[in-house]
Formats: sequence, C-alpha cells, structure tokens
Amino acid sequence: MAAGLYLLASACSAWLASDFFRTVSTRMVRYLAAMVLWAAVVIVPVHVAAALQMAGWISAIRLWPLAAAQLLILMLSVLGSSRLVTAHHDEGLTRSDQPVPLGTEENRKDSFPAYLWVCTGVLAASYAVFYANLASSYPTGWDALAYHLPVALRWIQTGTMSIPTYGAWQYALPGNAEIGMMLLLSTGRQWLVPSVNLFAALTMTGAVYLIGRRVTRRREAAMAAAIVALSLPIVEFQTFSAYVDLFGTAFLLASLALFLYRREPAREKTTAFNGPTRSSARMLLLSGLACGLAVGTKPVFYVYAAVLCLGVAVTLIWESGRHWRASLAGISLFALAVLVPSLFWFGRGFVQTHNPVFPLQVKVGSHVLFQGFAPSEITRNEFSDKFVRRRAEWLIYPWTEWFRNPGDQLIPYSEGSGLGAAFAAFVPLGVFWAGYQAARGRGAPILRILIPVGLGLLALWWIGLQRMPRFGLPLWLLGCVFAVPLFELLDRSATRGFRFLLVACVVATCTISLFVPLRELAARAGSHAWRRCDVYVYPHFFDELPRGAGVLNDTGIEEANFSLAGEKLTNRVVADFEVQGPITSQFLQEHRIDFIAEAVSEKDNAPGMHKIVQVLAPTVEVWSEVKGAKRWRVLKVETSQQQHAASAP
Amino acid sequence: MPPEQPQESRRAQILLGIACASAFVWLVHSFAVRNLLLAIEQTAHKLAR
Repeated sequence: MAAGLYLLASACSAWLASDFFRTVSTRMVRYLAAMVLWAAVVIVPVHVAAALQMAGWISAIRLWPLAAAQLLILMLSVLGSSRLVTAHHDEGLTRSDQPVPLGTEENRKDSFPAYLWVCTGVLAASYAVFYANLASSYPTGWDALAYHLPVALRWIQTGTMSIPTYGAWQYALPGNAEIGMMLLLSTGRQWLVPSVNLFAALTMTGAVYLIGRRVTRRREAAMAAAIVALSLPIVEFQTFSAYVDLFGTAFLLASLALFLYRREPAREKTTAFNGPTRSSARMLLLSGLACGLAVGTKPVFYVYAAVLCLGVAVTLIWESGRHWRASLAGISLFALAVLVPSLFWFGRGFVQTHNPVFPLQVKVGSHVLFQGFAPSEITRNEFSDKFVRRRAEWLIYPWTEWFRNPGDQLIPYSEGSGLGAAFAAFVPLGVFWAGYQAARGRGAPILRILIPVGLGLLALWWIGLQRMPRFGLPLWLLGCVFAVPLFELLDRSATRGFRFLLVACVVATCTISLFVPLRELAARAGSHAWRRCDVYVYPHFFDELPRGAGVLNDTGIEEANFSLAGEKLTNRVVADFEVQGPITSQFLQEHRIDFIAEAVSEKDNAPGMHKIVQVLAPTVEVWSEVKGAKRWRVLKVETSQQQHAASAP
Repeated sequence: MPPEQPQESRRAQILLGIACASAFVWLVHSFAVRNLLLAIEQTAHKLAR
C-alpha cells in the first residue's frame, strides 16, 4: 500500500514537473523528461532516507514516512505547475506559438507506414507473451536471483542500505535500479519487480527515437531504429528480468538525447550562443539527472558516463566560445545534476570503506589507491568466452550468436546474449554506411562525432569491460541509431525490399525469443507448477517457516539466495557469498542462523552448482526431499549450542 | 528527375542486397536458428511420446 502510494505520487509529481519542458520541444521530449523525473523522484528520497539512517538520525528506512514525503513533493509540484500555467496564461503563450522543431511536427498528420505498424504489432505481441509468462510466475535470471533481488530484500528486511562489515561486493554495488525493485517487492507481488525494466525499455525506446530524429528528417527511419533496438533479444529478455543493464543504458541514452535537445532545433541555426537560456539550462539539468541515474546503477556505467560528461563539457566550451563563464555555469549545472542521484553511493562507499567507488579497487600501476575488488574478481575475464568458440569470433558474433551452455531450452538468447536478425542485417552495414557518409562530410554533423566515440568505446568494451555482451548494451543501441541514415536511404529508394526484410527480420527474431516463454508457460501449465517453490525448485518447507527465520544458503545454488526467502519473503537469508570459510558455531551465532539449507546434485559436476561449505557445528536434520534432481537437506541449528557459543569467551 | 536520384537508387539497391546477404548469413549460421529447429524437434518428440 505504502509502496503503491509512493510510486503513484511520484508519477504524478514527475508528470506535473515535466510540464516545465512542454515549451522546449516535441511531445516525445516531454515524455522522456517525465520518465527521467519519475525515476529521480522515486530514487532520491530513498537515498536521503538511507543517508539519514546511516548517520543515525532515523532508526530505519520505512515506507510510510517515505510515502508521506512523496505526497509533500506532489503538493509542491501541484503548486509549481499551477504557477507555470498562470505564467503561460499571462504571457499569452499557447501550444500553437511554440517553435516547430526539426522535422517533428510537420508530419504529425501522417501516420507511420504500415510496415512499421506491423513490426510494432509483432514486437507488442512478443512482449505480451513474455509479460504473461512473468505474470504467471516469478522473476528469474541468474544475477537477479543471486544478488540483485537479495540486495533489495535485505534493504527491506534490515531497514538499512549500509554495506555489511564483511564487505561482500554484491552488497556494495550502487543500486538505483534495486531501489525500484525494493519498492515493488514491498507490494507483495514479486512478479511486478521487472516492471523497473519495462519502464527502462520505454525510456530507452524514447531516447533511441529522439537521438535518431537528430540524425534524420524522416521520422520513419528513427522509428525503424527504435524497432530494431526493441527487437534485440538482450533488450527483450532484460525487460522482463531483474537485471540492471537495461536500466542504466536507458538513462545513459536518455541523457544523451536530452542533451542533444537542450536548444530549440528550430532556433539553433539562427541564434548565436548567449549562455544557457532558462529552457536549455533545464534540459541540461535533466540530462545530468539521467546521466546520474545511470552512474548510480552499476560501475560499468562509470566508463560510459565519464565519456558522456567529457563530451558535454567539450561541447559546452566549444559552443560558448569566449563566454567561458557561461560554459563553466553549464558544466557545473550538469555535474551537479549528475551527482544528485549518484552521490549517495559514492558517499556510502567513502564513509564505510574509505573508497568512494567500492567495491571497485583503484590502482595506478602496482600501487593500490583504494582497496577493493579487481574487476576480474567480480566478472572473470574468461566469462565472455562462453559466447564465442575463439576470441576472433567476436568480429562475427551478430551472425553466429553462439552460446557454450544454452541449457535445456537450447535457445542461446537470454538477458546476457543475442542480438537478433534485424541487428545482424542492418546495424553493422548501417554503421559502415554512416561512417562512409560522415567521412565524405555528408549526413548529420552529430554522427561525425558519435561514430568515432562509439568505435573508441567499442575498444574500451573489449579491453576494459571483459567483452560481456550486456555490458556493451549502450553501444549496440547506439549502433541502431547509427543505422538511421541507412534506414532513411532504403526506405526512400528501395522501399518494398527494405520493408519486407525489416518485417521478416523482426518476425524471425521474435519467433526465436518467444520460444523461451512459450515453452516455460506450457511446461508450467502441463505440470501445474504455479507455486513459488515449484518455479524456483526448492522444498515447500521454506515457505512455512516462522517470520524472520534465519536461513543459510549452503546449497551451492547461488540463485537460492532469493528463493529461500520463501513465498512471503519473510525468511532472512544469509547468502552463499557471505560464507568466507567453514561454517562454525560462531558464524551461525553471529548471523542468527536457525536453518542451514543444503542441496546435493544426483549427478556429479551438475551445472550451476558450487561445492557446499562444510558445517562444523552441531545440527539436526529436519527435512529431506529430492527436488529438481537434487537431494535437499534442511539442518536446524541446535539452540543450546548457539547459546553455548554465545556464552563462550 | 534530379541526376542524383538514379545514383541514389542504385546505391540503395546495392545496400539492400548486402543487407539481404547479411540476413541470409545470419539465417544459415546463427546458433539461435539452428537450436530453435533442434528445440522444436525435441518438443515435438516429447509431445509425440
């Protein structure tokens, strides 16, 4: 109830506040502004509450006070909005007086051509099946269950967002997306959690379309780019999962889009730079907010955001010429806005570990500046080798989409892999065509800047981001934008063939992606496995434990970190990554553990299983069951032993 | 008809040809397509049993 009120009030505030951007440009800009504002209005109050809790000003983060604060923000937004309407009325400014941006409103009367509607319909149907699968099930995905959702649940259960003293990197990552997940978990409907990513997918679509509109006058081409972006299997699977890559990517692209629209396109060519106007300052602020949302999502986005911030600073300095004060004001405004939704994570890291970017280790040469984990300790360098047979194959990955362990489903598409037919057919060629046009001094000037930057980031993805396909999501989506000149040319001069090929590619990709949710739905319907314990394959025993029971995950199954919380999420799970050595009585007592869950595979070397940790404390077996080809055992920690351990010196 | 138009049309045809070839290579080589067929076959077997 409180979470629902919180989200509803923040949505209303964001929509009212986005009215400030009505005078700036197209309807799509206002829509994107509303999305960015909504995310910021949801996330920042939680940061403030968490900071107050860590400073000892409040005992715990609670939802009702947050909902009350959100209602206060809504009241202020209503007041601000009514003043804005009055100001517009006094100025006699109406919508028809607004400047017409580049190639946006003149086509409003014309609908999109039928092939784009067909593609949209196919995508909508495909997304609807994924949604039906999710709504009848629970969130899935390795990363999501292993630590994203356990992090969100830990915040709810403990009322704090501080890093635990043992410093597990999983609990120390920035977590803007997990804040949304935390609020949605609080509603009690676990299947709602991936809505965070549905929201991100909509934001990403708007951003890709808007950046595309700065490249072309034909909105059909920008729309085609957005369709190809939505057809990417990584995007589609992440939309219905609790991964965070899409969330960060969406706001990174939104930041770029809003920055590109900070000045009125219609006036851009006619007016000289006289410092930031009020509307361009607002857009700059919003762009910075979006960038900060991405920065606070995952350390991977530090790299992309640093390049974006540098680009913003250089552009502002170049635009302002000798007006260095104006450029300094713009840069400061942008930097300040970036910090609003991200400062909390840097502050938390610094206060608790003396490393603002904890869990990342910072070192220059062999000298460690800040203690932490090397990136290879978080994501192994060899991890990306499961997507290609040999590293040279990365050059042809869009056409191979190979996957070492596709699992029972056999489909190599997932939250972390797969680009699809439309990408393979159009994007590499589109990037080549855009580069060729840019080299000849033709096409949109923005491409002459974005293409070299994109290629530089591709090299950085290869070297610094461990070649993980999902870590390169901003690049694959920028690739869709780079294909806009190709879409424009083909739509104009090879109309029928292009339209047929695009529809065929989208249908082919969606068919393959769809196989996964359809088979899952059919399997669940066939076996009547609708219960949480059947979906996650764990003993029903954990759903019936008393509220607050401490359960240690010693199953060797990392996904069980979330599933063992039980149907009502009332179990306090100690995750497998919190166990640093043998499980001793002292460890059990420190973590207030009541039960230890163990699972042994019936087969040797079963995939996804780690070795279970030895228990060196007296326990009693209270449950044993074979489930999912694994022998599950539940050990109850003997209370007398706990007390004995507690009283021991 | 402006002189650029036939040239543009020829370029568009070439690029469309490359895009079609690219899509064909994907169709033949993509692990996703091959495994979809395999998965359909397996599912059909299961249903038949």
